[in-house]
Amino acid sequence: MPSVEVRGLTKRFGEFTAVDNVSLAIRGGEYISIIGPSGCGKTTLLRMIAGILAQDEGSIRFDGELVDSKPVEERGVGYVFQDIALFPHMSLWDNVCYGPRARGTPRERTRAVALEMLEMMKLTERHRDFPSELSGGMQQKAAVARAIAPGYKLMLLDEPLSMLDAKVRSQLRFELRAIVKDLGLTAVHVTHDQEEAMAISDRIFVMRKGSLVEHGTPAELYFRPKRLFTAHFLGESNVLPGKVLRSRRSGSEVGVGHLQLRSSQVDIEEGARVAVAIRPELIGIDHEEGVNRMRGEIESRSFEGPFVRYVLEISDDLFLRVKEPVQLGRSPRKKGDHLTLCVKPEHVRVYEFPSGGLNTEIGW
Amino acid sequence: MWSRRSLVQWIGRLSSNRLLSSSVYGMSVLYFILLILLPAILGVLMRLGSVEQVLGNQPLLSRSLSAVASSFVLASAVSVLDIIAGLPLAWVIVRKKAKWVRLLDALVDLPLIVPTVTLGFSVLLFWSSSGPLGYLGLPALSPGWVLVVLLHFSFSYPVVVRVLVGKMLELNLVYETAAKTLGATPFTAARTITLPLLSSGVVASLLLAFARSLSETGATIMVAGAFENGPVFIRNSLSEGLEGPLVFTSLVLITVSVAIFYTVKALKVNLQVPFERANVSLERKLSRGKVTTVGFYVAVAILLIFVVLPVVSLSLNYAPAVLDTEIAREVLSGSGIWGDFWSGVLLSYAVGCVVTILNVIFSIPMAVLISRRKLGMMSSMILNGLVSVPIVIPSVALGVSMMFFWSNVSLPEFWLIVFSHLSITYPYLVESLVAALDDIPTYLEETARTLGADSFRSFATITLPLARYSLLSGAILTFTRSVDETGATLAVSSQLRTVPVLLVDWVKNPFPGSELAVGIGTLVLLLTSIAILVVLKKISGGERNA
Amino acid sequence: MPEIGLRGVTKRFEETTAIDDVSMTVRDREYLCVVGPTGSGKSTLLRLIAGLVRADRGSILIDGHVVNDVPPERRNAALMPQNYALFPHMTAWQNVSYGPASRGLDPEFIETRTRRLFRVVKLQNWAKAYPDQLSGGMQQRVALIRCLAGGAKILLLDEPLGALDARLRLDLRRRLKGFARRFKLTVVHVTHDQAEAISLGDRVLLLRRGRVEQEGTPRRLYFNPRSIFAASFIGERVLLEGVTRETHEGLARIEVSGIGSVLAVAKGLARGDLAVLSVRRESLRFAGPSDRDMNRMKGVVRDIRPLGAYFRYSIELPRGNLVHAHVPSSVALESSVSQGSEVELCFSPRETLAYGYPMRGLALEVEAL
Repeated sequence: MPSVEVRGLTKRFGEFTAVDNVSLAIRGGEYISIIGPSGCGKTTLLRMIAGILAQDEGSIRFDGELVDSKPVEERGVGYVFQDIALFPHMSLWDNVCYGPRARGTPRERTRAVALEMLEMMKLTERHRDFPSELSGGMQQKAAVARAIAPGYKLMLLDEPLSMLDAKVRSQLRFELRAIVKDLGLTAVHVTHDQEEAMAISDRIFVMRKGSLVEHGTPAELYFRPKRLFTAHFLGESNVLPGKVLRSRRSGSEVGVGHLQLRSSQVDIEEGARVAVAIRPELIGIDHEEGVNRMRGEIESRSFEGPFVRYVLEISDDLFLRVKEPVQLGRSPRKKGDHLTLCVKPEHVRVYEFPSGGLNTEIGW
Repeated sequence: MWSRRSLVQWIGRLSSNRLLSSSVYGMSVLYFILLILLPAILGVLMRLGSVEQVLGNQPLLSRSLSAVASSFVLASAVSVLDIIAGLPLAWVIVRKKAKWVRLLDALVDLPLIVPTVTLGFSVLLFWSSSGPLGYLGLPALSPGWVLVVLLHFSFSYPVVVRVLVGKMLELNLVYETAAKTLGATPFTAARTITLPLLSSGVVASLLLAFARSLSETGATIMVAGAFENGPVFIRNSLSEGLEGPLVFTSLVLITVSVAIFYTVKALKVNLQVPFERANVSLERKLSRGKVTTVGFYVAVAILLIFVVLPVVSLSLNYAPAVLDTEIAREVLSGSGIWGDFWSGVLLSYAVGCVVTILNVIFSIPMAVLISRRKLGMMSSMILNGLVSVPIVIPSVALGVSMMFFWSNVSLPEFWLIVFSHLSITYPYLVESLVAALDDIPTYLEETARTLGADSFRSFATITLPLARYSLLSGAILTFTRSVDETGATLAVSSQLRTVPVLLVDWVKNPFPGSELAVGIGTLVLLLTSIAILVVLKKISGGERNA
Repeated sequence: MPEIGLRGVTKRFEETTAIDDVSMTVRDREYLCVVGPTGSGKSTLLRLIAGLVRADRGSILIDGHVVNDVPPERRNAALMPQNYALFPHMTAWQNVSYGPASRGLDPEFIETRTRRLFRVVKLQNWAKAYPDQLSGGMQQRVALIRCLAGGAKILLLDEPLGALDARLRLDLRRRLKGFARRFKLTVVHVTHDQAEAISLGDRVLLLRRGRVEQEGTPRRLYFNPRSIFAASFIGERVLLEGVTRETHEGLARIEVSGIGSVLAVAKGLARGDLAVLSVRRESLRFAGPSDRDMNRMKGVVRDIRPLGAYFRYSIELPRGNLVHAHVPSSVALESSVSQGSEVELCFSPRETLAYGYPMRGLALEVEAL
């Protein structure tokens, strides 16, 4: 279970800085996700850790040992590619055996390892097939099997599921985590799908435009994001401009439009211009008791499976998106209905108002 | 008023008419079959009777068969040499990122610009006593099979490298990277992953080199001396006036070529050695920089000595002559032999233009038929296979066949030459067009259709512009190939002489001052061909879109 | 009057039957989502409507007219492929004006309309740019107005959000619908993402191996999937196997080992039949004192993961199998249930659907990996 430490890693392509002074530490045995919008540098970062790309500045350590000078083939890192990259001219069996064979492993041992891998992925019957004969999901499982076969303890996965159907993706992600945990590997998984990251990671690193924005457990990042970008990128948030009216040790009060919302957040400056983020599913509807009450009219609604989403007009220029779990048997709420909303202070997140304006901060 | 827009619309409306578009395709298929395919094969079959001349005559028979055998042995040897020397060079050009690699790239292209007669003469000179060998006091190489091998190597080597470079550039690097992440040393990754994936490219370039060697006539005659391969033997038989050997040799050449090519293509060769266990320490050593550097230097040396220097030395040798105002005036005046020279040049270019225009017009629908699989997968494959037939047939045999086919119709020699050149250049044009069309995704044209463009308009405004570069370079290739073509021309024409035929003639039938004349002639040819290429590249480069 | 109609359409390619006897209608201005796994024939369906492939059997109708023999350029149904297919050798402006120009419309009219469309998507300053100079989102917008420029009223979208980031996908989903509404378009939107189909479509058509598995409103497909395949494809469900003990008026009592007796909505099941039960993961709730007439199951919580708007509780049942329950975050955050806790889950019989056990076995039927 190797640990991974990256310090001050930077990579430039001409004028463009793809990765900008990124430092992170991953403990042995952790399943880490790196998420961010496309172009944020997460794949470039992964490739540098693998040794496929050389960094311009910074260092990389596995288990405390510097690996910068080691070429790819000597770093001992398993890599799963976004486009799967199974060798098209070799059968599944030969693909999985490739790593051990290339490293000079004795024939018997290679055979044993390959059998074990295929068993684990439930692909034993297809071992004679060529990659083009397998479905997308099977191909990806085969690619994972191949990457683990050499016996490396560190696995890097570059958007491994992005080419697959949504259904297959949601099935495979848990399998991936299970395999990594069962084998005691350390995994770094790059994805743009925040739902995927939340489902499988011990910790998540959020990247944007080449820099690390924030990191933490899924729960930490989702319910207590420290940065506005995280609040918006992970899941969904209502983001509203506001002003701090009062700031105490026990909490604060923020003015948003005509509303006065209580937030549990402390150490924010009174009078400061802020951006407030509230998650749609954490807004309560028609509760008898509740803090931060407001009234609104349903302006639109849409069905989303387990949830129904409403857009509520609180005032002329204040709209809130609210998500409510579907409850069969209760008469559905209609457009034009008036609802009373409430939200807990700990779910009213307050951030410094971005200097470039809201659009540049949460747009891309 | 006929505006361009309304013309396009009128054609477009016509193209929606399925009958009309079917007949356009039909005409292009007919063009192919009647003008290109059938004459090439039927001609010899029509004179099957005269084969008896050879079968009865033992010495003639054995001479003919050994000529054919020499052709194939020569072609095989040259192709193998090409691959062994070509792979490392192609690797360097694609993988190494130094500045001088660009220069290397350009040098490889050099022989492709040089007309083969020029190349033939320069090889003849370079290895003769007046070249570096004589300079160093070493025994010179006189015309014979050794010189032929060197010649064939020098013009097929760059072709092989070009094809390999192209295939390597297409290869997705991710597989090699994946292999390395699995622990394979660069050498292991190259031999177990990259090489097998290049199999089809290697085979394709081998076949190309093989075909070129079989076909090459003009320059071969210059350097062959007493050695006889197929084309040389046929040419000798032509000058001896014997029909039997012509038919017989052509027939055998055609049959064996076709058999070899289609067998190799069908075999789907896979360059893969079963991989059980890597010898890590050895392969790691082989991956090290030093080994690749040594391999690289050897490849470059080969390129220089066998390909570049002969041409350079020819130029140096005769440049002073060309620059001499006296001689220049004589050359340009067109007096005496130079009159023949310039009319030869005129003839070559006239033929080239006609051939290019005709082939371009009729190959486009054919390429569309094959690439877009309009008649289904199977038919496309069959058509594609048939189109390659003229490449497979050695050009001199093709010329012989053409001559016999059209002998019933009293066709002017000019058109005989045009038809034989049509046949030889057609496959290359169709192949490059098909490759270009294959690269243009069908969804572009389909989207255009759903936006309101009929099939002609969507082809003309979407696909054709995107294929413009390939079309242009295919046309240029057709033109230069036609100008270069000697074998078939020799077979079909007895009175008209294109420039290569003329120059070969001067070498084989020397007269006082002929060596100088050939030197100047080949150099002038080189210069004019470079000039044309530069002009054409400028035109095409300016039109190339982002 | 239905804008688009298919009647008994079949399309074969070599040995595979891509579309097998499909009949469907799309009403004027309806937003239809066609959803199904890869290879189910969704793209072929779109191409049949567009006229890029000919049906082997059956008729395709647009506005009531049979259009089987009408070439694509005259069908007025614009197709947008997954990668937008912007013509790389033309500027954005030329791309957008391509359609109307091909239709021979008046140049001045084309100019005004193109300019207006660029303004609608706020890309006026990018009209002279080439596709490779535009971001993914911009390319999509240009591709969309290009479809409209020629006056097409039918929009055929092939996985329009497939190439995008998950986050962007969510944002652009709504924009697409708004776009369609604003321009009064009839849309057929193909996707492999059932969540997308459910949230976007006025109606949803589930396709499987070239056949229509089920079609209806999103709510209908979500709450009343007619087959096990539909149940496993739409939404996230728990599947349990059991034996039918008794049936009565559309309900059945199924014996599931490790859980006990479960009451479910069933059709066509007889006593003794092997059955498969499906329950939506969000229907599983922690049993409380006020819960009556509910199905129940007991187990031990093995894992709790926040997934965003809901938490996933992995609960091990007595026989060792694992079920996942989705609990809304607002509830989960308040709950005292932790890893290792023993819990009792309850779920309403109305939300428990029973199906006959498939002949090919459950794994194959739901096309699991």
